Amino acid sequence: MATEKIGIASGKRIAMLKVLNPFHIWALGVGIVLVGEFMGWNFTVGKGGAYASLIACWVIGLLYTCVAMIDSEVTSTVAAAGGQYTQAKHIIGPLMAFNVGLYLVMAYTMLCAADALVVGDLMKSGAEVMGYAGLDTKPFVVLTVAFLAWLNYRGVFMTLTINLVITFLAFISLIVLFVAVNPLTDGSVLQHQGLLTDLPYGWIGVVASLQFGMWYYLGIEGTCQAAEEVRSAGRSIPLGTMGGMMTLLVAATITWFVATGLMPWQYLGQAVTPMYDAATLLGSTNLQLMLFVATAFAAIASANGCINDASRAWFSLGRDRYMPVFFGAIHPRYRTPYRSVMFLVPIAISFAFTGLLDQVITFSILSGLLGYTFMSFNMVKFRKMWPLGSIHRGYIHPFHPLPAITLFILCCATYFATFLGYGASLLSIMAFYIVASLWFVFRRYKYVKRADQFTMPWPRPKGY
Amino acid sequence: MKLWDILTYVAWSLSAIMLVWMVVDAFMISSQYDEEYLMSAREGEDEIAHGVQLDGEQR
Repeated sequence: MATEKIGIASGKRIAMLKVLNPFHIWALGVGIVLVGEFMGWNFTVGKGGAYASLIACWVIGLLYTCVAMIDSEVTSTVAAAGGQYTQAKHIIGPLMAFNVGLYLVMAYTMLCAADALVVGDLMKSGAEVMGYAGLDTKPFVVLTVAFLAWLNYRGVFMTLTINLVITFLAFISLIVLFVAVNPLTDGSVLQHQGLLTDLPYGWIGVVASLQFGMWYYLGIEGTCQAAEEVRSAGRSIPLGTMGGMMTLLVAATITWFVATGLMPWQYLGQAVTPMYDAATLLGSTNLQLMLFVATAFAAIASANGCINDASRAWFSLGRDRYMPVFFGAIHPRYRTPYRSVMFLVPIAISFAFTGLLDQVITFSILSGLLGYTFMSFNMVKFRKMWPLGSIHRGYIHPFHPLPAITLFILCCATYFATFLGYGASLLSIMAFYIVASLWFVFRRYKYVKRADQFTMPWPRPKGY
Repeated sequence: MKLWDILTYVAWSLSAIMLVWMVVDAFMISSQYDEEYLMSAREGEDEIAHGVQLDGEQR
């Protein structure tokens, strides 16, 4: 006898669970980013010296503060999974939405692959310290992606609660390191007076360092992917995002202060794990162990948040038929976009197996940068089409349009910086998105249900 | 066999178990539930989306 399947007739529609709070949003945003304070940010030092790194830290901090403010306002209104993709769909149009969705999926999947590579490399370093040379990193890369995908498959609450714990511990390790260097008495441990030099490559070095300055904050905008799973999105998303941005500004400044006071810029600019090296220089085994574990936690938290965000973006593209509708399914028990989570596993592992960490990261950074550029246009159009007072906003960012203009100018400066260092990558990534756009327009858009695109119960936009 | 060799095999095994578990579970869900139901989630079903009211905002 055939068993009847459980269908829509038996009950109401399926939906993702609304179980998250502002702390989970903080953990999602900071969790994705914090690995950048443990490694990667220091390439800014290599590009332009220690002072250039500090300028990049604060200038790019301004860029991301604009991103956080703009994101908080729009997401507190367009509270749906997909984040910036859904915003683009409502405010600009389908082609922009498709591109933004693709930026998000590529940025987070690539970042997840890079994080898994870092975990593998850490295991290899640990094995070497214990006397085992030449450990194969592949099984640990696969285990990282598989475990985090399994966690994401089984439910968002546990996934982001784990992220909250390990992200908080990684952040605390930076505070402990800061206290350990006795920051109030320069000269006792820190040697800023001797180590800080003028700009070795002049102001062009400062501009060049902006590209790697993004490592300090890349991914904080991922908070809005959780909009459909958070209780009271209008309150939680702005709180978690702005709180996360403040945490990162503190963490980035502490990181720069400690590392540049312990290592000369020539070494720091090419170090693989600068914070672990800083702990090693202090001569404390406990600090060394703490920084080793914290670096691993930060990489795992980042990969975890990336799987969460990439799957929500892919799920949203599927739900709207921008991609096969098969991916728009929700697990009836765990209430997660389980097919999207599974789909991203082989892609992340494939990118990780290439071993090209810098290329993978560059693709991720550029995809993120394209998304930020979109946000500046998006914000201006959003306020123009639905001025203050026409729809409910959970958060209203101040000084409009200054943040949008500032964001656009800083994005242009960062494109130029990227062109200086990775011109070929920049052009090939642009070509990739142009080809993808052509595919969408000529082959995919016919499957999109145009009447179902606009889901927000807003009044007719001004001027339409 | 050294500890790190064992850890390598454990990592491959755990990865395989978790990946297979997800695939099997996904097939079971597809066999138990209607596709239309699994894909019935709708965007924007949130208190903000339905809050067209203008509380706390100045016109």
